[in-house]
Amino acid sequence: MRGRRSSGIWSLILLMVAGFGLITLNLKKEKAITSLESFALAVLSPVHGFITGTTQQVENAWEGYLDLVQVKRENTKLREEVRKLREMANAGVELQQQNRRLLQLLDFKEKTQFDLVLAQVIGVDSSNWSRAIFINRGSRDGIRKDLPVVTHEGVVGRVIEATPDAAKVLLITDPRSAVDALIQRTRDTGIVVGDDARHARMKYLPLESNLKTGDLVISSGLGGIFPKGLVVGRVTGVTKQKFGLFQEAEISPSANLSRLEEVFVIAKGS
Amino acid sequence: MFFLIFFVLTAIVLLIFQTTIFPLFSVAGVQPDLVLLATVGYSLVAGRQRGLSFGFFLGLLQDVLSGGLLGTNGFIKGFVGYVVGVFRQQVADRSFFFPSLAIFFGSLLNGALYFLIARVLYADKYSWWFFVRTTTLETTYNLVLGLVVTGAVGVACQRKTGLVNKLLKKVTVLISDRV
Repeated sequence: MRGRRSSGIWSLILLMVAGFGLITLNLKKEKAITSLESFALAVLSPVHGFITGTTQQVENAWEGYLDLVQVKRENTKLREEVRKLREMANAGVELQQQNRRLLQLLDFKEKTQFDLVLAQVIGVDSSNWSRAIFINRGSRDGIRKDLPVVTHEGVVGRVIEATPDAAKVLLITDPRSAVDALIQRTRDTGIVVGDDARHARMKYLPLESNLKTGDLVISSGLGGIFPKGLVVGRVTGVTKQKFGLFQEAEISPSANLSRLEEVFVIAKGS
Repeated sequence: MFFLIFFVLTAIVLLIFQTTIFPLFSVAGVQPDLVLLATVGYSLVAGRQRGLSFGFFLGLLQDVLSGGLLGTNGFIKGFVGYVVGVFRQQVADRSFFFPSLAIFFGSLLNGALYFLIARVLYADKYSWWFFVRTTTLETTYNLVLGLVVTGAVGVACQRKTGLVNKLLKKVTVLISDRV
């Protein structure tokens, strides 16, 4: 026990002597020490270089990995940003189109003397046998049965049912629809009835009527639902029967009934 | 209970699709009648009784979302469901074309019934041409969609026979036997 302790003390003393000795020699720039140092350096430098190089590579790889993670994050962020910008661009286009439509409707509203209620189309008919749309205005907004529905382009149809917050509109292309109308140029009257999804027919036109393709058809105001002067459509074809009392005209509705987004309901009493 | 959940979910999905997405794919203003297709499909699986009630209630919902008279589609779809259910009992053949045949005759029956009701209620407002045109287009469209769906189900059954067949059998049992 004692032996161990004394050898430890001796080792410590040796260490101190060697250490101070080396420091002293180093301070005096002794040649032996410089050579020893150079030799050590020469032997150790390749190892040191290898270790440093490896460490550097590991460090580079790690930094590269971190950069990649960063790039990936940035990539995800940029993609998200691109998506948001695209969405904004789409929304911009949508707003622009909506703005254009609303401006046209506003222009129509300012020019007309009717009391108009703007409504959005929220749905279309679920059956192939009838032509109707659903709007987001109902009895709470003063909408009720038999009120006419129009756009700036022309007549759309009439309300056939109204709930507090929505209403069902029968389009003029539905076979059950009938609009009392007249040809603007000749002043001949007839009834515009639905034919198929895109066209209507004007019935009961006098045989002597000089109809032409392109003639404008407007509401006559006689049916009690549509006020006089609303544009219904244009004549696209005329059918004259040899033995009939009347002639018929094929009408293309002025309003694009397959792409309706906003419509006006003409409130009664106007 | 399961039937009720199945019915409500089917109705919501079908009617949303019918009134929002399918109009975008309409040909000359005519689109496939999903309610009719669902009624025919359900009647083939569950039989005439359930086919009738399924078609009737789904048709009523379709009436609410259309410009037609309430009850028209309810009656027609219920009737088609029943007839297809009877057809299923009578015909032994269960080949690939069996559902397509049912869709074809179901669509024709749908058009014919609509024509009859409309002529009775609205006399000459509806022309023959309107019905011929609409029925022809609708039947063709239904048939094409029906063939695609039947084909897809058939291919899925062949490829993943075990899993799909098990799933189909389970669903079939659930929707046809439990109320």
